[in-house]
Amino acid sequence: MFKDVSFGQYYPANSPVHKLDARIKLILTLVYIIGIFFVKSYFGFMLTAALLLLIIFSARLPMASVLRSVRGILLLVVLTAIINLFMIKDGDVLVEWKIFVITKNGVHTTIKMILRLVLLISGASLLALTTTPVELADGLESLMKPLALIKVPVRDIAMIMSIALRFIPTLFDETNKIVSAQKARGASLDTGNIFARIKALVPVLVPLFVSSFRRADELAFAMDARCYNATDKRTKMKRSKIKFSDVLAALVVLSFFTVILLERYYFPSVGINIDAMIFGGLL
Amino acid sequence: MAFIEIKGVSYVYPIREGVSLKAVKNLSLSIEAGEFVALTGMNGSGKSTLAKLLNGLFKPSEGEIMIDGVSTADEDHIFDIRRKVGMVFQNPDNQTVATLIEDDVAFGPENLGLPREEIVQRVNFALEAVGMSEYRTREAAKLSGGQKQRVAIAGVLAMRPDVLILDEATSMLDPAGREEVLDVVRQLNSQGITVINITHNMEEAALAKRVIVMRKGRLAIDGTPSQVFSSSLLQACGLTLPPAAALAKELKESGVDIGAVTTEESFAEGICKLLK
Repeated sequence: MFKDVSFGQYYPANSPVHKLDARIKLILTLVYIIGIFFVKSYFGFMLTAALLLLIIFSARLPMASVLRSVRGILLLVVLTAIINLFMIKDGDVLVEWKIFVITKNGVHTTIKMILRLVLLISGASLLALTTTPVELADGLESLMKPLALIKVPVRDIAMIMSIALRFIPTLFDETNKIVSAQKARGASLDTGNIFARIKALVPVLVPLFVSSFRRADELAFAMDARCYNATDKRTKMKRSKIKFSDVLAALVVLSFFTVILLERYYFPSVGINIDAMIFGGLL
Repeated sequence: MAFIEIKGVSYVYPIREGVSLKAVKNLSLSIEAGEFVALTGMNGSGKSTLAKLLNGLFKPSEGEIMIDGVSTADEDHIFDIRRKVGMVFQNPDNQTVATLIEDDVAFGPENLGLPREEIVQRVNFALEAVGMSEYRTREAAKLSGGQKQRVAIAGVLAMRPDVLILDEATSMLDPAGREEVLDVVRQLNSQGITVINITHNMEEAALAKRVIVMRKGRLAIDGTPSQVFSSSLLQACGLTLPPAAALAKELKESGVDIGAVTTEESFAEGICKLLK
């Protein structure tokens, strides 16, 4: 059942966004996330949404794949919205019923909160959708390199990450085999209430743990046999170079960030005016 | 001096306080460069332990192993020894380090700290040698067992070894996968790489030019396949003859002598000679 599920959310496609350097994507995702917290006006949110749509479009991703990641935080969004809606009590009162008060300010804050969360999660999911786990691990290793100066074992951490990723399909297969083996002996794994089911997992998890340790042991021998730790300066076959498209992507995201900052701190009236122009009486 | 010199080697597994297991006992033998050796014996006869002793994964408890004149106990040269004596293990899944095939083959050379161009060159060479070039950007998890073991051999070849040890590397494969791997191994041996194939399968052992049989940690029989198969000790070592040799023996006992038979090919040759 797990056989063809590729790990994580990666959506394979041949697009310029998929081909960007993983390090650039990691950094730009961070910039985008920070940028979102500076957005204050509806104008700013429209700008963010436009950028997001531009990326989704050039990455040739179906909208559904991005929305799927939003679905995961739906509960959080709803809860945050309800709390915001009823807790903000300043500004003009729109509705008042017993202890429940909804103000104009509250409505605006709530809408902006929802927009912020949805844009944040969709933007962050683009990273996982367009980058393979291996590229992500390599990118993180490369970005963490300066930490080696303060004696963080970056190389070993990177090796652990990539081995963990490498063994996910293997362990999935193993789990399926154990499930089949236990079922063949009469284990019922998918009947009964939640507690019965959790208890039924024990005979699956114990052999899985034991075999994982055995695998780890053998892998350690295999790595030793192939001279792991032979030198302090382990070299890499693949060297990622920053391409023109990486620079271009960086420029786009950084100019977005600059516009957001300018709009917030130097020209707040622009956002307010545009908001008023578009939504007019609604505000 | 031979390329591999094993001199009075014993190895003791410490199990727990006061309890230990002597897996290899006072073993001495030598293997010349370019030989094709099959190492066989029952479970627990010490053959896998011997393999791990040969590339310094284990250090001898007594005695000494010399690889190309350097002791495996010499910590300063341990990585040099491991590079010279490459090892392919039984379970293909538990020796693949990277997700992509080319990355896995590059693992060894990367560990040696070689320059990038050199690594690329060696990965190309190694994948070519095992006939897996077209799969280089595939995921290792999606290959067949035989293909996975060929990739594992490529991973060793990329380090330019002198000796290739196969530690029951074909035991988890189907007959087709076994053939694939053995073909590659024979080819490498003909190019001068010393091969030590550890196996339970006597038909596979018959393919080697020299068969070493171990029993309870000691050397029991050492000779050509036909010498080993005609040895009276074979049964005591828990081994049975491969079908072709067994049939030839039966025939001989009932009066039809077709000479020394080790493989199906030599059986056929023997029959032909007899018919002439």
